[in-house]
Amino acid sequence: METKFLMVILGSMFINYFLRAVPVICHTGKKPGRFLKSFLEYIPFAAIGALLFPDALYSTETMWVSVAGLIFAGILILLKRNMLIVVSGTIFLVYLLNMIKP
Amino acid sequence: MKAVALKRLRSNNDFKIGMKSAAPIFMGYFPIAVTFGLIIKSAGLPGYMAVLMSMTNFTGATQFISTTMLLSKASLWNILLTTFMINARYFLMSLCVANKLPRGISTKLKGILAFGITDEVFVLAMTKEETNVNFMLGSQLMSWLGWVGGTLVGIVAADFLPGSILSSTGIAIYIMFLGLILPAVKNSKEIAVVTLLGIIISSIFFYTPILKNFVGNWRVIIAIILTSAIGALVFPVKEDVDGN
Repeated sequence: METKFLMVILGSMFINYFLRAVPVICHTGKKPGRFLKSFLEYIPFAAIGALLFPDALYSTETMWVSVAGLIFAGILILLKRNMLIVVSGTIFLVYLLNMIKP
Repeated sequence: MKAVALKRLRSNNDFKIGMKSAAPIFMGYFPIAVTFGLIIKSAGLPGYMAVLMSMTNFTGATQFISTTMLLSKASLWNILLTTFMINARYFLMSLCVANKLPRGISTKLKGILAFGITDEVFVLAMTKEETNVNFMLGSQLMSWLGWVGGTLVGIVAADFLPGSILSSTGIAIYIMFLGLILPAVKNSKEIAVVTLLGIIISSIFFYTPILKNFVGNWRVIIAIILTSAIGALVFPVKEDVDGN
C-alpha cells in the first residue's frame, strides 16, 4: 500500500506538472474548442458527484449515521462555516451517534 | 545601475503584494489541507507521504480523490488516468495564463510559474489585465504555504487524537467533497445538473450487479466521461469576450 501510494504521488506529480507546464512553456496561441472546454470544465463536478454517492452512504458503520452526518455537514457548508469546524463537528457527531447505536 | 535597483525594488514589491492578496487563499487552503493530513494518517499511511504529496502535487480535490481510490484498491493506472482527466482543466488555465504573460520571460521562470497554477491562483491572476509574474509568484508561494502547512498540522494533530475519534474520520473525505461542490451547485444550475448526473450514473453502475462486476473500480472514470460529455453537449460554457 505504501509503495503504491508513493507511485501515485510521483505519477500524479508528473501528470500535474505536465498539464500545467506544457501550455506555458510551448505556447502556440492555439485555443481549444467549445466542446472540449465545457467537457474539461465539468469533469471535477462529475468526478466528485460520482465519488460522493453512493460511497458516502457506507462511510460509517450504519447508513443512517452517514446520512445524518452528511446532512449536518451540508447545512454547515451552506451556512459558510470554516471547513475545519464542519469536518471536526461532523466527525464528533458520527462518533456520538456510533456510541448510542442500538 | 539605478534603473536595475529600481526594477528589483518594484518586482520585490509586486511579490509582496501577491503574497498579501493570496491571504484569503491561504485561509481557504489551510483547513482543507489539515483534513487531508488527518485522512492520510487515519488510513494508516505515513504522514511524510501526505506532506510529500501536498508539496509536489499541490492539487486540492485530486489528492483526496486519488487517496479515496487508493484505499478502495483501484489500480495505479486507474488512479493516474482519473488524475489526468480531473486535472486536464489545468491545461486550459495554463493556456489562459500563457496568453496573458508579458513577452521575454525565461523558460526557467515559466517552469516555476506553471507549477503553482491552481483554480484559486488562476482566478486571482486573471483579475489583472496583463499577468504580473512577480505578483503571481507571490500569490502562488502564499497558497502553497497554506496547503503544505495545513497538511503538516493535520498529520501532527492526528497523533493527539484518540483512536476512537480517528476511526470516525471515514466520513471526512466525503465532507470535503461536499464542501467542494455544494457552493458551486448552489450558484450554478448547470453544475447542479452535472453533479446530479454524475451521482445517478455512478449509482446505476454501483447497484446493478452485472455492471458493477464488469467495470469494477473503473466506475468513476466511466461516470466522469459520460457525465462531462453529456454536460458539454447540453450546457456548453459561454465564450469569454477575449476568446479565452
